[in-house]
Amino acid sequence: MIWLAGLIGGMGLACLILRSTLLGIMVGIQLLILGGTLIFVLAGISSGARLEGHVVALFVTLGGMAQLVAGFALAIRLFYLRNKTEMSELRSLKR
Amino acid sequence: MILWIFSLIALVAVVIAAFAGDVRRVTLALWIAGLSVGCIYLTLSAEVLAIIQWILSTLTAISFTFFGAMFGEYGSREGGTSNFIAYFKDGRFLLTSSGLLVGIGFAALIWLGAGRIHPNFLIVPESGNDIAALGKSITDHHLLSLEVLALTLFLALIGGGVLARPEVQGEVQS
Repeated sequence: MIWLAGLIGGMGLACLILRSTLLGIMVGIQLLILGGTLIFVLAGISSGARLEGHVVALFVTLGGMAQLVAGFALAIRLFYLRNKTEMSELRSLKR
Repeated sequence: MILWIFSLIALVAVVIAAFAGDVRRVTLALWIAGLSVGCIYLTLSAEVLAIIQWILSTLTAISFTFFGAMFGEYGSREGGTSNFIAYFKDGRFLLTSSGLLVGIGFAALIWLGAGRIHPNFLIVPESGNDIAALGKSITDHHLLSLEVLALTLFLALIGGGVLARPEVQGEVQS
């Protein structure tokens, strides 16, 4: 099962490398978080600390929502000002 | 058996979400991947996590759909493979294969480093399926983490509102 969690995270990493838009990058981060939470749950089971694994996975999942909110907010800001959501345009927001 | 079916569905959905060019397919695949991982949690007796995962995956998919439509990306293609010659020529093939290699390498690293899971990992101990114990553990041992998480989400909410404010005077559109 660990390989599945690693593969989900790995695909998220690959997605982060491949995509150039903010939405694509956020999909990659979501996949990475999905793999990460699964790893924590499985690691908790394998180490005998089942409950701790669940708690950490819960924190990671909810922390991922903060990333999503920040990502969407940045994308909206970029779209207002530049009319596009390319990652390369983020630098142009710097004053 | 059902665990492996969900694993297979999750794996296929994740690969589509990572590599599909169509934002519509990416959103749908991300949603299915989240639901499948929730089902895996359910088979691993992590009911609370499963429900939270299902809710958050659905909300995430809805927000990706709305924002994709708003930015004009919904239905458009990013890095698709409709023109194979261009796909090879402009280096996207190299980028895709290197991304895939990095992903598989990361998976191998986790697999080698994490060790083996006990063969009877689906058998849940009597005290391991207790939602009350989960809540008690959070409030007794992870209260600071809970506070930090709450503060982070609050700051993300406020910061998101500030960042996404409409254009103000003085900011020049290029």
